Amino acid sequence: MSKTTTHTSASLDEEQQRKLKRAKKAALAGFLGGALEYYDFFIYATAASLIFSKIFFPAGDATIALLASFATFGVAYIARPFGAVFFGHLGDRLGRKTTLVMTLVLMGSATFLIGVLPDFSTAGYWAPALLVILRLLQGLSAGAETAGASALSTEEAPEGRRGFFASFAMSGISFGIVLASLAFLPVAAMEESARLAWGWRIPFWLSLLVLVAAYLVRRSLEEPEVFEEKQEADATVKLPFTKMITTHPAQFIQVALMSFQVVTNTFMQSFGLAYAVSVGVSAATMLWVSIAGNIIAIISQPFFARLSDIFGRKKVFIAGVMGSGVMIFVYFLTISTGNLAMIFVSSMLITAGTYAASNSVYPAWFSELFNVKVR
Amino acid sequence: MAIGLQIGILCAGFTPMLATALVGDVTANWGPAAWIVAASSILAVIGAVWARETSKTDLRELGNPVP
Repeated sequence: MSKTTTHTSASLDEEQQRKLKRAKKAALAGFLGGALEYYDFFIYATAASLIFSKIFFPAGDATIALLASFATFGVAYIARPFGAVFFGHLGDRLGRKTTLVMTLVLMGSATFLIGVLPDFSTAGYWAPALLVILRLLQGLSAGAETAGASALSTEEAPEGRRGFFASFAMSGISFGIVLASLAFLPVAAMEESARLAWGWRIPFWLSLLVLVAAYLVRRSLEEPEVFEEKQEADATVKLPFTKMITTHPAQFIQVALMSFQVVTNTFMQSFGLAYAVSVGVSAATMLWVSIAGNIIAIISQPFFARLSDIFGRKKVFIAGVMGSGVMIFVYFLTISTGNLAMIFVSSMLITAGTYAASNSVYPAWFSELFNVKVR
Repeated sequence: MAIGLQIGILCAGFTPMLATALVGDVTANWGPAAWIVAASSILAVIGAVWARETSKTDLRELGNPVP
C-alpha cells in the first residue's frame, strides 16, 4: 500500500516537474520573442524620431517631415489588429507554436528589408511608399506576437503563478528596447552625413541575429496542454473572433480600454525622444535613459506580476496606470528644464516602476478574461 | 483577446503624431503631450475597474461559457 502511495507521489512529482519545465520554456520563448519583435519595433521608433524625417521625405519644413515620419510609425498600428485576427485564427487552428514561428520570420524579414531601402533622393516617392509597406508587415507580425505569447505562457504556467510566468514576454520587450537603444548609440555618435547615408541601416541589419536566436528557441517549444486538450475534444471554434465578440462583449471592451496603458511607453520611446532632442538634450543621453530604465524593468516586471498573483491583478494594474498618468507631467517638465539627473530619475520611475507595474500584469490578465476556446 | 488589445495599441501608435501636431515648434508647450498620456491612463483605469479579478480563478473556469 505504502509502496503504491510512494510510487504515485513520485509520479506526481515527475509530472509537476515536467509541467514546470514546459512553463519555464514557454516563458523563455516569450521573453526572446518579445525581445526580437520589439527590438525591431523600437529601432523603427528611434529611426522615425531621429532619421526618417530627414531621408524619406522631400526637404522642407522639419515639423511636417517629422509628422510624416511618425505617420509611417503609426501605420503599423493599423495593421496590428488585422495581424491579431489573421494570426489569431491560425494560432487557434494550427497551434500557438507554429504561428509564433511564422510571425517571427515575418518581422525579421520586414525589418531587414527596411535596412536596405533606397532613400528619397534615390527613389523619390517610392522610398516612403516601400517604407510604409514594410512597416505594415511589421505591424501584422507584432499584432499576433504579444497576444499569442501571452496566451501560450498563461496556459502553460502553474496555478497561482500565471502572472509571473506570463510577464516574461513583457521583460523580453524591455530587453528588446535595451538592444534597440544600444544598437542606436554608435549611430547617434556618427557624423550626420554618415549616419543618414548608411549608419542608421546597421541596427536594421542586426535584427537577423536576434531573429536566429529567437527562432531556435521557439522552434523547440511544444503546444500548451490546454490547447492540445481543446484540439483533442474537437473544441476548435470555427470563427473564433465572431464567437469571442458574441460571448465576451464586455471583456472585449475592457481589454480595449485597458490597452491604452501602452501609450505611456510608446510615447516616451518616440515623441519623448524627438521632444528631448528638440530642446537640446542629446539623443545619446535619451538612449542611455531608456537603456537604464528598461534594464531595471526586465527585473521589476516579473516582481510586479508576482505581486498581482498574490494581491490581485486589478490593484497592481490600477496603481501602475495612475502613477504613469501623473509621472508623465514630471517627465516632460524635467526634459524641458534639461536637468539630466532629474530626467534619469523621472524616466526610471515610470519605465521600471509605474509603467512596469501595469505592463507586467496585462499578459496574464487579458488572457484570463477569456475562455480558452476564444482566447 | 488579441483584437481587443490592438484597438488601444492602434490609438497609441498615432499619439506621437498627434502630439507633434499639438506641440508644433513651441517646445515649451509640452502640456498637450502630457495630457494625451494622462487621458489614456484614465481610459485604462476605467477598463480595469470594470474588469473581473481573475488571479485566483482556475485556468479552465476563466471567461464566459462558449457553446
